[in-house]
Amino acid sequence: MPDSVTLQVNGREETVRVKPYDTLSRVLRDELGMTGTKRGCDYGGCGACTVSLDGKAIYSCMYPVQYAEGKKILTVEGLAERNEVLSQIQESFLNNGGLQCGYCTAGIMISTKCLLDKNLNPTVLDIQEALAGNICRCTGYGRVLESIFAAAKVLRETLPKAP
Amino acid sequence: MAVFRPKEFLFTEDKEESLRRLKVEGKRARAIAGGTGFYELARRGYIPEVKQLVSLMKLGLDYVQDKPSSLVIGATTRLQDLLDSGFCDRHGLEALGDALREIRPVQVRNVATVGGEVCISVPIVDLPTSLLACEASLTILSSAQAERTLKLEEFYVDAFLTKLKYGEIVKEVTIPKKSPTQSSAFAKLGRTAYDFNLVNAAASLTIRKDGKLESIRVFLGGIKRVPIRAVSFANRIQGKQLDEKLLLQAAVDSFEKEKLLPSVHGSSEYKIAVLPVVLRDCVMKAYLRAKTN
Repeated sequence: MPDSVTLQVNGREETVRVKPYDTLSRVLRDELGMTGTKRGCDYGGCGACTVSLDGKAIYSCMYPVQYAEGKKILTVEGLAERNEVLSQIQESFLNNGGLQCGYCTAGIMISTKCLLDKNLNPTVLDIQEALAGNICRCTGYGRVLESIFAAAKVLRETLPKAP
Repeated sequence: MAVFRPKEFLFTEDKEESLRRLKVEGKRARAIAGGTGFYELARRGYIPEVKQLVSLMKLGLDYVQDKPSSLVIGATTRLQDLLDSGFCDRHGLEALGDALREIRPVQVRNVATVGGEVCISVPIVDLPTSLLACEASLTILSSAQAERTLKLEEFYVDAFLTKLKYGEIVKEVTIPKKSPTQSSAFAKLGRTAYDFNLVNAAASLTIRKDGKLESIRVFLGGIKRVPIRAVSFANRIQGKQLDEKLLLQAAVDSFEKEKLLPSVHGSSEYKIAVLPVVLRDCVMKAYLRAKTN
């Protein structure tokens, strides 16, 4: 069993030493210093630690880090295409008041990204299904829904038009 | 609280070595698949004695095979992949599709495996109940060559305890193909849409041409330490034309004197009160599917 793994996080390769029981969230936060991914309940109940793995949302707090090798990991730090320029999803949450304390927001935005990458015309039910695993105790979800609809609209409008 | 600090994470394609390690290390080793259930138990301090984790994820057990007489699901198939395969919405297997959709959130479905759901043996999970209704059996591997099969009905001993011995793993789940007249359904009640169950029910049935019930298999989860077959309930509705009133009454009569498994989320009395509704909804859904087949 090798005690190091090579992770592809937000397009960059990082090789880190890991312990046999390490989860992806611990390695991201404590070894790579990427604290955008939050540690909430730490056993799959709150969704604050959600990251995208090959385009699928997962709980990084209960994901053995060894399994993440060779997969494309996207965290909230990788949402913006360049530093200081926010992604459309982030802009939309900002403009529509889709967050208050912000602790759950990184996870919610990653779940949103996974949803909108597959479906740019989500219904309320689609969003509820995609966000069922992300708990927010501040917003009451109303503004979160508005933010996602707004992001979807902008992303649809910026799609390259068919010739 | 006892701390979970295994010394090794064996993550290999070598089946023989994985099985050998599980056998030699006994209770100090544990097989781990997706890890969602496992890490939750570890965090809550339930498995401090585990010193070695043996991952099954590289053993090539991630497949869904559509065979002439059965559907074969590899143990490390992720729940979302099984749902996306579309096989679980075929006639007779609808209970599987229903149950998979009710396992939320998607973050868990993307990682949790069929074998993990079957082997964790806790009353709060959903897939075993529907697999039982669909007459699933397990192929159990004790070395790269040695296999045995076991009906899922005979697999559960107690909460956290199955018939698996040290050095054995579940290789695949086999579900026989259903006749065109067969339908099934699953229903559950949890505190929220994304929670584990308080009670769940799965039914597989066939009806006669006149609409009367010919045969039925009903299983219930969450009400005892292992899933149970609702024999008394099935006998009460056997051969009858089903409607919601009859089903509700049969369910009330079958369970009103039972002592059901209490938890912090629902007492025995509460479960006795809600179970008939879940059972009625489940059987009615399967019955209506059979009628429109």
